[in-house]
Amino acid sequence: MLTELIRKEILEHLMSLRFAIACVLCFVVILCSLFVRLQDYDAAMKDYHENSARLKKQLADLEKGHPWSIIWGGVEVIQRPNPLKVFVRGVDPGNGMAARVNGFQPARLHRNESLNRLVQLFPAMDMVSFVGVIMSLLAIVFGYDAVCGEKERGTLRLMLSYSVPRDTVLLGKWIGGYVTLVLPFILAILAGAAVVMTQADVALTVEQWHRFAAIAGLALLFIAAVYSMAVWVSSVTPRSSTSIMVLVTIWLIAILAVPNLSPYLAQAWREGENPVEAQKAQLAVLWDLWQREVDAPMKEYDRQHGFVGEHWWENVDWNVWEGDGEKKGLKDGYERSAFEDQCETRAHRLSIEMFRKLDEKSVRSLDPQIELGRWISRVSPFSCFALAATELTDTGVLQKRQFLNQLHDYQLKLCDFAFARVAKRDQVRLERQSTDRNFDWAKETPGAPPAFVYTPPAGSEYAKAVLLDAGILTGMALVFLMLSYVSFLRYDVR
Amino acid sequence: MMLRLLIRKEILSHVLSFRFAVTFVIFLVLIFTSIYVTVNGYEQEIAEHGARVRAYQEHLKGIITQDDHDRIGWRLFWDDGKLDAVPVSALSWLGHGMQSINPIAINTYRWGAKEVDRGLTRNPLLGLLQVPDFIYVVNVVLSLLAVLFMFDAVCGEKEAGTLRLTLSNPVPRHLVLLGKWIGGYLVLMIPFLIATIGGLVYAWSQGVLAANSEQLTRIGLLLLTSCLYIAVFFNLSLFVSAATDRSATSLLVCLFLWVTFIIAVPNMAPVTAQILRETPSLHLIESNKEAVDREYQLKIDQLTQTTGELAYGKKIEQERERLEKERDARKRQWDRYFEDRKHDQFSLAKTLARTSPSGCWIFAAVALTDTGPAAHERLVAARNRLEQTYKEKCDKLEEHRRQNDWKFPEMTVEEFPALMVQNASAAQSLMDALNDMLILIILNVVCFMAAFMRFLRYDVR
Repeated sequence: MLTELIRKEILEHLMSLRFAIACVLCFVVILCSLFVRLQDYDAAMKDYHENSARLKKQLADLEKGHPWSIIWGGVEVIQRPNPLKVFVRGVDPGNGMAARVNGFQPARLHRNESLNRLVQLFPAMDMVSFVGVIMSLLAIVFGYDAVCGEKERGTLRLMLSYSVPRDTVLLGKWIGGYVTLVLPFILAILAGAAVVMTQADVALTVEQWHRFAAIAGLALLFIAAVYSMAVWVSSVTPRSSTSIMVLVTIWLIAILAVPNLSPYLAQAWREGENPVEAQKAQLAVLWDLWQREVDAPMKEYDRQHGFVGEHWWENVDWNVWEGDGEKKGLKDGYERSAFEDQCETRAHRLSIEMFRKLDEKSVRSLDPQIELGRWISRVSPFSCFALAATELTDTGVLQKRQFLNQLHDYQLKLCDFAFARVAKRDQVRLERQSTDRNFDWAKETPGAPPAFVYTPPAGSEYAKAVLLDAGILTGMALVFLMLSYVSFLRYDVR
Repeated sequence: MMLRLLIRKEILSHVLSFRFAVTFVIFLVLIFTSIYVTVNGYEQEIAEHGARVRAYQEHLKGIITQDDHDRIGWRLFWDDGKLDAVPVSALSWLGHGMQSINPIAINTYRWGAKEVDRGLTRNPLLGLLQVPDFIYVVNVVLSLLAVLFMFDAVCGEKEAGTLRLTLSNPVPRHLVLLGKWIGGYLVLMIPFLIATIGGLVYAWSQGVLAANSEQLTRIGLLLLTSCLYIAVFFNLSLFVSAATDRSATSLLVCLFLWVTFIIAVPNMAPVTAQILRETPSLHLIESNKEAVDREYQLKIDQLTQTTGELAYGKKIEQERERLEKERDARKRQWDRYFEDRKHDQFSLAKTLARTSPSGCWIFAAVALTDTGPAAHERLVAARNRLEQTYKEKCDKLEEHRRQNDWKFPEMTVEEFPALMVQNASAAQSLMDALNDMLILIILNVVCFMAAFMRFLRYDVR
């Protein structure tokens, strides 16, 4: 009996205009947006390759040069574009983050200047927005008259005059409608995946394909939740025009209003760190530290070692190793430089650690706001899907923080490399006891600066981030289905 | 008389319907919540801007009042520079526009300027979705409600059998259509205007909306444009309704058009333009500029070697200066090339987005709230001016220092150049928005005429 009912529903939907429209929308929009995002990814990859070659050369040059150029000039760091961004845009419109890391400023991400500025007004369409807006609307269109529409046409009365249990009728309607609704979506997604597979540049790993499959699974759950809601509303309203109005109202609130408003409401109710205070604290770090760790000890050093006058180097005869009573020699100059380097190294290291602490404080102060925003938005199934999909594709908050954390680690590693070379130079010069002041950095302190390699969060982190949202979506789908069942049992078919 | 009767009938049938009640509630809830949220955000931004201005002034004062003049020079020219807070647009609470790409401050040094953004103090989730401001609500919610109001205007009456009855009386068809249009439009727009005025009163009570002619003109024009925009979807749905026999079919077609015009076309425009008019990457431009640097460094080194002198002396200084100027000009050429290509791409994206009424509405609205591309360009121009004037100021200070035993003169915070962003007048904004308003008017006329033509031949049986 159930098979018969499902077959009837599927045939009815397959021959309807709504199915044709669903097919057109799924194939045209998914493939067009994928094509556009693939082109965007190609451009990002081209940019990445060009940039990598340039940065490799820069790193090689740094090996030959003075290490302070790393501290003051810094090194540019780029992240390889994420191929999963062809499916999900995430929290940042660009693909592949970039930053400049040096020894005197906090590590900050660059803005993608090549990006078309209009993206701010018209954000590009991706799988999340397609599923969230278009598929949910289609789910409503497929389900708004599932029960009341049949009542209006009189066919429900006819059907129930036979010995068909109501639960089987509802289940048949649900399964038949859902299958025809997701069929064009699944086919379009498979076509999209096939297109991606043919692209040599977008080489997704097995793990990334698994994640893509997980997103598709979440999308099916999301569609099931919205479709169940539509069937429920249809079984509590007597007319299809009332049903569509109620559903569109719920759709406007749940899909468009709640997710968009939630971060702003959270911002209004839970303030993060005051950005002005955060900036003031950062501005103060370097000069305060510099005065304490470099200026004061150097003044003391000069006083103790008899470096008088405004310019200490005027006290040194640079052509003799040991000085006489009147003038100091090269040895004294080198010793002073070595002490100064030690002080500066300490100041830079401390400032980097301070910057990191300040950054961590800013991030921590935002956590309650982000969490509140997430919880408010979880009223909407769209938010659950969007949050889970961004984390799964490594384009969400988790990944951004991971990148920043690794950037901080790299900053320390890079500066330690530069400081070690300076210390080595100071040691070599004093040991050599020569008046030849030339120093070959590449020969005397060999070694290339460390390169930055981004490691994505571990699989368990993703599972943790996604499980809750997947659970909520499943719960919503089941609750709405149960509500439809209860309402349909009491539905007046006359 | 007849028209008035028809309008009255339409208004009554709508007002007594369930959809009117739902529409009213949606307008009240969404418009008011949106204005509440954006007004709060705006107040926070204004407070932050004030605090930032004060903090930057104190910071600059701290630098210029130091005793160590070497350190003043070092910090003023190279390390700290001067910080200027970027002002917030007065109507950004109605439409955020392109404000999110604006930096919060400009940090100017002797060598140039860089932008300071919100960094880690910004909630990253804000980047995932769009700002739910008034422009967004009108763009998405109002257009959808317009579609829902009109999708069964003609075919629904046919299904109910009332159209046949109406037309059996001596009523001209154009009057019936006009009556439907005016009645339906008034019923949709009145709750919208009531909710919007309520929101504006809230903004005024919070001190965010200044009741001056400039702002009131802008808001008036914004409301007028929103009426034009809604009318486009009203007419489009009327046309679809007059071209279909069943309201279920009409609803599907209308929703399909809505998705196409609101979601698909405008959102694909920027990326499509990126593909059709590729711009070179910024890194490529930087590489080329670095190559120019290397080429001129070689020339300067050669100059020193061929003269057999040290790199000092008036003649060599002059030649070096000439080469440096030439180098800077060539680097600027690369910057200009990049900007021109970006501008071309931007223009194409604008044209593509304008193929949808949603694109026209957004462009007109951001122009009227002064948060659009024009406002962004004025900020960039102000930044460039500041960069130039700050460099000149630093050069002057350095010259003074050189001539006065490396001592700076007495300095005050006020004597330093500041970021001066010119605001567009309401008339200028209107000129920016005019093209899009005209497109909306044309679309209205075309859709209404198409609906009229279809209705004249409509089979009411």
